[in-house]
Amino acid sequence: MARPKLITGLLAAGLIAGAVLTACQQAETPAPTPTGSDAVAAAATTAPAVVATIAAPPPAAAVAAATVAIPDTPAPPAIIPATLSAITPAAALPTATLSAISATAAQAATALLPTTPPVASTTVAPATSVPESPTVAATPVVLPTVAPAATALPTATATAPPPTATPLPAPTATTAPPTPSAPEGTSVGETPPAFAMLRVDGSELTSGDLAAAGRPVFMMYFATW
Amino acid sequence: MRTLNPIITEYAGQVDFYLVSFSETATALDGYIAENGYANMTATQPVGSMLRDLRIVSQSSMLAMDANSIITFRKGYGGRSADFGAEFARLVQ
Repeated sequence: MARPKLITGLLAAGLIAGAVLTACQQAETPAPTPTGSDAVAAAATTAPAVVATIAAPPPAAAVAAATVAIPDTPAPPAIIPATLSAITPAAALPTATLSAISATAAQAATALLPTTPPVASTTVAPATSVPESPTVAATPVVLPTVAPAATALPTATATAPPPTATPLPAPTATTAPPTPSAPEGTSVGETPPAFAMLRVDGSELTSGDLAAAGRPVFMMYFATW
Repeated sequence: MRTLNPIITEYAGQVDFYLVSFSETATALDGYIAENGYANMTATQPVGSMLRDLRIVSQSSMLAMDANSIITFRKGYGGRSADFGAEFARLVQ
C-alpha cells in the first residue's frame, strides 16, 4: 500500500514539475515569436510585395511544429519524460520557426537585394564611370569648347554689328509705316494730327508719348457743368 | 461715366483712359474724378488747338486709338449709344 502511494506521489510530483516546465517553456515561447513577427514586419515594411512570401513560410513551419507537438502534447499527462521531450522539441520549434522565418526573411531580402543592388550597382557603375571618365574627358572637351566660344565671340561680335545695323532701320521703318499706312485725319482708320495735353501736375503729354507707350488710348472730352 | 467706369477698370493696364477737359482745367476734372470715386483714369486739359485739330465740337465726345495710334472709334455727343465693352475689347486685340 505504501509503494503505490509513493509511486502515485512521485507521478503527481512529476506531473506538476512537467506542468511547471511546460508553462515556463510556453512563457518563453511567445518572446521569440514577436521577434520573428518583427523581423517579418520589418521585411514587409521593406518590401510589401514580399509579405506574402514571408507570411506563407511561417505556416509551414508552424505546421511542422504542430506535427511534432501534436503527438507529443497528449503524452505529457501520461508520462513525464514524454512531456519533457515534447517540451524540448516545442522549445526548439520556435527556434526552428524563427530560423525558418529568418531564412525566409533572408530569402526575401536576397530577393529584394538582387533587384535593388543590380540597379544600384548598374546605376553607380555607369554614373561613376560616366562622371569620372567623362569629367576628365569633358574637361578637355570644355576647354576646346571654351576656346571655340572665345573664337566664336569675335564672330558674334562681328555678327553683332550687322544686327545692330539691321534693327536700326527696322525701328525707323516701324515708326514710318503707321504714318504712310494710315493717312492723317480725324476719322476712324486715320492717324490723328499731333496734339498735346496737360496733366494735373503740369506735365505735358503729347501724341508722340502715347504712340511711344504702344498702348491703346481712350479719350473722353468731358465737362463737369 | 458711371457706365464707362467699370469697363475702364476692367481694362486698366491695357487701355490708357484720359478724361480731357472740354472747357475747364485738369484740376477741376481731377476733383470730379475723386468726388465720384472713379479710378484708372487720368485728368488732362487740352493744349493749344487740340480740340479743333481733332474736331471735337461737343462735350462727351470720345475718341479711341489703337496701339499704332490709328483712330478706331469716335463718337460725338448724343447719337446712338455705343457698346463701350466691345470697343475696349477691340482696342486690346
